[in-house]
Amino acid sequence: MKKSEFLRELKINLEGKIGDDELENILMDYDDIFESGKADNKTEDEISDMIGSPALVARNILDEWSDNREAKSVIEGDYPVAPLGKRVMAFAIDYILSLVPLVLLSFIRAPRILFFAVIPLMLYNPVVPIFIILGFLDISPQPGVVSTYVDSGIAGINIFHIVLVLISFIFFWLYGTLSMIILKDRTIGMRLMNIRVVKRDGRILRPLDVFIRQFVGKILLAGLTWNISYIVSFFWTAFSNTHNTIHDKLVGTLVVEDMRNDQ
Amino acid sequence: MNTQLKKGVLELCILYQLRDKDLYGYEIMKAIKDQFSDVYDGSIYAILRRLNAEGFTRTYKKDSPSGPARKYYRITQTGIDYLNTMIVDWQKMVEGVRKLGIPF
Repeated sequence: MKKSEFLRELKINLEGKIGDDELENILMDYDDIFESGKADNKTEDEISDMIGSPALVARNILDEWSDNREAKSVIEGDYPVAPLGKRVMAFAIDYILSLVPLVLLSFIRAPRILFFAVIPLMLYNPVVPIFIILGFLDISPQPGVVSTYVDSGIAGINIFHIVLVLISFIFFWLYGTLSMIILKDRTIGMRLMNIRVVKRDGRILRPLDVFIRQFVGKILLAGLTWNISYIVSFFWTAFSNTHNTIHDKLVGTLVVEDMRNDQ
Repeated sequence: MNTQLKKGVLELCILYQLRDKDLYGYEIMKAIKDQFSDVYDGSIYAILRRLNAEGFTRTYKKDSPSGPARKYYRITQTGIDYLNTMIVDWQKMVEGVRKLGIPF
């Protein structure tokens, strides 16, 4: 078959079944293949024999895409979904770990002015300010007397304090993302509970997926909704077969029991 | 050859070809066709295309001495990780099959 005939047939077989851009790309690819074949001293007939009929080529292309969609249901059948209890425990462990620097920080007792400078960041998550505030209350030796720590104004702020606060917040925000990237597909809490994250379509979990799942889906969303998103996720999880949370749905993941024994 | 088996094998072979150097479409097809003569280039292309769409490879155009610019495929880090996982899976599978007494 000649190249022009092949490409025309291929186009007819794919038109309407895939996007126009996709179609353009595929036709260009096959044009490329024919030209490469000719550079390799093959005739257009030989090349089209090697490739197969345009109808077959089209079917292969379409099959690959529908197979991908089928893969989604295969994953659910193959892997045992992690029980709710384990997920809650893992979440609790991770949440506590992510707060460690901030809690430690609250005992440094940075100047009061810093307290107000940090309010916009604190409103981000209602739980966190509790630790910051605790840090600013001077609990003196006499029982029953609690006085607020009052310091000088701007002169009291130390670049060191600002950096510490920022680092602690960044740790809180990115702990989930970083631990999951480092441990490949689970956080420290998940590792302890022997569960892991898999993508429903069977693909590998990529750093961008991890970032969207852990930071955008959990931390950012929780901050914007005053932690209500966690509560919604919990109930949603409890009542769905595959225990999907909001952040799972965002990235198309599933949390399953970790059956690998080579870790 | 069994279809599912074929697809798995082709993924492995395609990515392995790209392990050390970038290749253009026709080269990949030819390399695989030389070993698997009953596989149509069209099937190879479809899998190559899907692997690219999934981010295991990426493409770029490079000028060729004998004519128009060619589309080259390059394996990504994600692709390398996937390839290594597949190689381990295949080795385990072959071991299992062999231990069952099936001649290999």
